[in-house]
Amino acid sequence: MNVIGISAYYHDSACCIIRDGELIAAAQEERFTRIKHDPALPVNAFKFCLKQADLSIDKIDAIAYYEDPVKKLSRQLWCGADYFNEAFTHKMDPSKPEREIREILGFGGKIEFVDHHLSHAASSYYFSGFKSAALLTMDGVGEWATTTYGIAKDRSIDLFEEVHFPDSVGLLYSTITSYLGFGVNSGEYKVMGLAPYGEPLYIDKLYELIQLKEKGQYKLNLEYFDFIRGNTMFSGKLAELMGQPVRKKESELLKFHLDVAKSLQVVLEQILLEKAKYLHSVTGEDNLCMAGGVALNCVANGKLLREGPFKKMFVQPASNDAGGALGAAAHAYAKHSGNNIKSAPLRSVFLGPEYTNADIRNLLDATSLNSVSYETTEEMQKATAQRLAKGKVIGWFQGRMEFGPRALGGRSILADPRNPEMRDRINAMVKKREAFRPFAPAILEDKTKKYFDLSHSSPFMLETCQVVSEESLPAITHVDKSARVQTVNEKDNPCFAGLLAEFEKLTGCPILLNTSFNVRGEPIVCTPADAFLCFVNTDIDCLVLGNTIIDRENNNMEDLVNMVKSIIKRKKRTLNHDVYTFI
Amino acid sequence: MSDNLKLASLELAGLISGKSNNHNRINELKSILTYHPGQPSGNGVKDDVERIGIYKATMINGEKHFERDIEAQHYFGIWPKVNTIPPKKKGKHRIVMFGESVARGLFYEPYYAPPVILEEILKKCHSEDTEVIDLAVSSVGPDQILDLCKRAFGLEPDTYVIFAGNNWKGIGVTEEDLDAIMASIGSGKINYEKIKQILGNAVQHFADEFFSKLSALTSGKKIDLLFIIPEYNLMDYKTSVVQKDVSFVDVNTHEWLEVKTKTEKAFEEGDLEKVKMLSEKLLSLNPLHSLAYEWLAYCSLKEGKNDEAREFLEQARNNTMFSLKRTTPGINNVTRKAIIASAAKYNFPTLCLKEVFSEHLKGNLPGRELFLDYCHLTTEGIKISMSKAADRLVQIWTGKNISPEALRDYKISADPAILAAAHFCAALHNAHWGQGHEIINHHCRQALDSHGETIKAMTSYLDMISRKAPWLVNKETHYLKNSNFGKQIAGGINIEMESFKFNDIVFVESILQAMKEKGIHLSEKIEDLRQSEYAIGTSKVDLLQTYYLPSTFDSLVSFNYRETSFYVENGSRSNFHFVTSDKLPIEIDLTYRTPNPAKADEKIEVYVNDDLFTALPQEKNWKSISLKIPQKYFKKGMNNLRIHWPVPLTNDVVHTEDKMKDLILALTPSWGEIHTFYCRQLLN
Ligand SMILES: [Fe+2]
Repeated sequence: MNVIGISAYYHDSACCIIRDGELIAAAQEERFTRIKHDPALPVNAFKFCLKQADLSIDKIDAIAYYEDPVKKLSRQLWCGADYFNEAFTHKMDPSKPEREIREILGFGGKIEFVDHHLSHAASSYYFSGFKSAALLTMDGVGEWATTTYGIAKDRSIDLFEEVHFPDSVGLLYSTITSYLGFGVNSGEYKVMGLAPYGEPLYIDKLYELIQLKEKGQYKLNLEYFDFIRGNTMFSGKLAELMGQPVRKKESELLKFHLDVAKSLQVVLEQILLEKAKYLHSVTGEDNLCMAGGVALNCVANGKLLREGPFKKMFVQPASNDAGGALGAAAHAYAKHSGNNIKSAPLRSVFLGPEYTNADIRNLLDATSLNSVSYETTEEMQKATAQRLAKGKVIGWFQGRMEFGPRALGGRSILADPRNPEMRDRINAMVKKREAFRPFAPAILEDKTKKYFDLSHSSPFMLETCQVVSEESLPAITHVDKSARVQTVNEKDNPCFAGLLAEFEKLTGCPILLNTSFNVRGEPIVCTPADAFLCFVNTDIDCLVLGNTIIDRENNNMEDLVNMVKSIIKRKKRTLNHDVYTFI
Repeated sequence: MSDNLKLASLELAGLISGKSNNHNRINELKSILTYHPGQPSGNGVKDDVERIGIYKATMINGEKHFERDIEAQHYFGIWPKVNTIPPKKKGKHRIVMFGESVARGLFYEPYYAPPVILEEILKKCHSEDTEVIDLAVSSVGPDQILDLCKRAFGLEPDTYVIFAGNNWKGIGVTEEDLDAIMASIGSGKINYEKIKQILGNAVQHFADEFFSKLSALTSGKKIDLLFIIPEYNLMDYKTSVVQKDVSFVDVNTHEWLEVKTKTEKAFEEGDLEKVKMLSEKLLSLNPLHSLAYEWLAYCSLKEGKNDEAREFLEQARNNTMFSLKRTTPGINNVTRKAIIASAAKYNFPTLCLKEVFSEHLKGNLPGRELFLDYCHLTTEGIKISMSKAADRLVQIWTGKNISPEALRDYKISADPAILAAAHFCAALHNAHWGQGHEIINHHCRQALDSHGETIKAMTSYLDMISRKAPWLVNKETHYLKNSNFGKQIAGGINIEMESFKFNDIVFVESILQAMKEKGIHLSEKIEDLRQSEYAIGTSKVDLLQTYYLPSTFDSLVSFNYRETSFYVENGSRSNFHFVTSDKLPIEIDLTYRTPNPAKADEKIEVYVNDDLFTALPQEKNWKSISLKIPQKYFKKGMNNLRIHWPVPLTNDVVHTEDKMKDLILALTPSWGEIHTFYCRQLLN
């Protein structure tokens, strides 16, 4: 049985394919269209999935869609959205998902609508490898639910309690994110990164915004919010309560802002812990599966596992709505086939497209740049490690692209974590992001204990822990001595593990700084050409594409850089801009 | 916020998504749910800066200048390459010229644009104090021109010149017109006369409105106005590759296709009497198709009947206005007449280039001495048209004409490098718009003859088009972009287009041939490049990627207006091209369907390099098959795989909110669809 999963029309559209129980491919549409967070029907990701699975459309038994459009519409109507207003009709038309799946994807078979939070829950449980588990999902909002509690056993999921919109921990987090001058649906990470710099001085005030109720419930004090039908997340009363005006975007960060961020993080952790205890008491399960946007808060996840009642935890690496595609597909597959998902526990998220060395050779032949190609992967790893040891910043492009928001060694920017200047250097040359955010470390799994207070593997960079290393690792250590660790092993991530081993041989350090391969505001690179253009458009020192290395210092790139910069700056990325019209 | 409200919203969502007609209940639920009208949109923000297109008013030393707004950078390519429009100086007579790409002087601009030439002529033959401000924009439509006319008052104009009409295809068509056309389609027989009448009226109505608005706009202002109506390259008229196929599907389509095949054969055999007879037959089956008129015109020209040929060519040209597929831009007789009539009604003087050129050519038909492609002018064409325009303007201003001697002496001293680039661009443009080998070759040769630099430009282009790498990273791009070729091509080659790659067979072959005539042999090199980039080898290749699709740009952009994830053919033939060897058989995995059934016994035919390989049954739903094609069907190098779809029985007429889409679906239904088309060589 073959099932395709789709999430679309809100944020981060994605498509995945499950062939006879095996997760063969998954990708976000933004990587193909190069439109960050592209919400369109994932036509390109769909085509890629079919090709990767070597299946034609007539061999697909069902397409599972990650939410229920009618329920979602009811929530929107409840909010006061005027359905009979034309613009709204167009945007919210609940028949659109089915219509477009039929007309644009050409699918004539069964379409299964899976509730938003059921999709999140399924995306975690079915790939956790647990036979049974308690389930916790939290996000901004799906249809009505914003938080669900459940239990899963033998391929069946029971979500026994829900918290409904407008009460939402996710929206609380986003509201404060917005109050602190960061973007909703994108700036939440920054608030999390900011928290360790602050003191938790505003916990009481934040509990004015949210009150915990019996069982799994909680309530937002709607006086302070305006997201139901306003154009902002918060009402005027929020600033009054906090005693400070809303921070303007890009303005200076004051101690107050750091303290609010810290307070928010603490409140989130407290809520999670309390509700996890409740969930544990009801289910009696030792295993916890989590998903939904809130589950991307890796600081809270680490704390929950350390201090909470559950013994084991699985967090879906693509916990955002892109991961909803996985959950919808897994749910439909399990339901109709009666079988387990074979790709569980999920060991890697290298589910995207890959390119051959011949593709890379052809690309580089078209350019004017000098490069070195190595016969074997080992030679390439050695040569790359030497450059890293010399302090070079590397654009690293290998194998299949990752699914989900993290780069885990397929499309990464890598550097020496011991270098105290590295954080600022990378920020200046490519990421152009806030200096307060540290980068993440990737470490050989069997060396973890020596450097981090982490007792289990963490292949998806989904929790933080304390740095216990004797050696100083300034580029990846946060102000509170924490780090968001990725553990890498030879079996699941061989090429990256090989590089870490070579770097260790040269330096004695089995760790690399690992951040995603993209410039600010653009999706992570997908193709060798994307990687090449990102390399040209930034100041990255070396580009490693498969077994080929290009060194900036061995090339005169001035003309190319000027041309690419001028064109990329001018270019409007919209879906069909590749076609010229001209009369 | 009670649960009652939630229940009400759930029920209402259910009714709406079920397209319920229970309006009472819907209204009831609406009143239960407190309704809040949609927020006022933020787009209504008043822009208090004075703007003219990409230009924005800026005060410099207390005087108003118009400067290009960096925010509008994305559009600079289709506007004149002028940074600043200074305030008018005392004593100057300021002309503002509006228009489309022809007025932009494609492919000479920024060098020999008509506004520049007009200014030169006026300065030389009338007064040094005349100046022409260039506000011509590629792809501009009539409504935008009116808007620009309004905004350009800020330039203190004395005279407006509008040079437009090429972009007026499909204008003025209302929802009611679409309804009327839809109604006339019934019973599988298209009412061609009705369509012609509706669209003709729409153009006339639109032209009336245009000049009425223009009149209201300029009344009370002391601005003289001249409207220049463009002409079309009749001698080189060729129905484009896309247009040659079936236009509309109806009960006559089957026969039309058969007769068309016979006519093509007769044409090849040079049997002109038969061509004429069959062409008449074609017109009786579909009077709104261009091809038969093109053939009739050919026969008339052979017989030396110029006037008759002109009639036929103009008919052919007119018929492109009824096409729902991509057509080359350009004026037609219907639009020309509408403009002349409406302008006269509102007392606007016009200059009709059809007459100007006819007089210049002493009754002969205009061709490549005046045009680079179907509508863009050569330097000669620009000189003649702008001389006449200057003469008319002086007459309007003074009542007198410029002395013919002065006009005769005016010459455009063309730089050979610029001419070479213009010919190269013309060759490219003709190729990309489905024109014939002969005209493309002509311009390739002219480009090579004009200047030695062409060799380098052509070599660069061949490299860029033959590789998969985005042009942006190609080592040749920097050169091409910064040479005349890159500058003059403007929108023609869009170096910024990254992923849109196609095999461009016709143009590449023309370049290779023209180079070969000069003793430069690049065929082998290109063949090798294609082999390493696109060849079908032993790993799976997706033939639905753009580089295997039709080799002309217009057919490529026409093929998927439905924006589906799969291939939809809205013509009778689907063409795929690929490079391979003749050493191994090829396996094809095909998933296809024919959603609009044809006659029961008709099959889908698959041809490889013109040899019929197999015939497949029609399939209402997706069907996957595997074909093994023996190596004897293939040749080393470029191969063609063609699918002939059976004629669909006329599509159902559906009515949705998008009337244009409904009409397109009804008149040009899908003939066949392909979801998977993988191809690879089989090892023996
Ligand atoms: Fe969600």
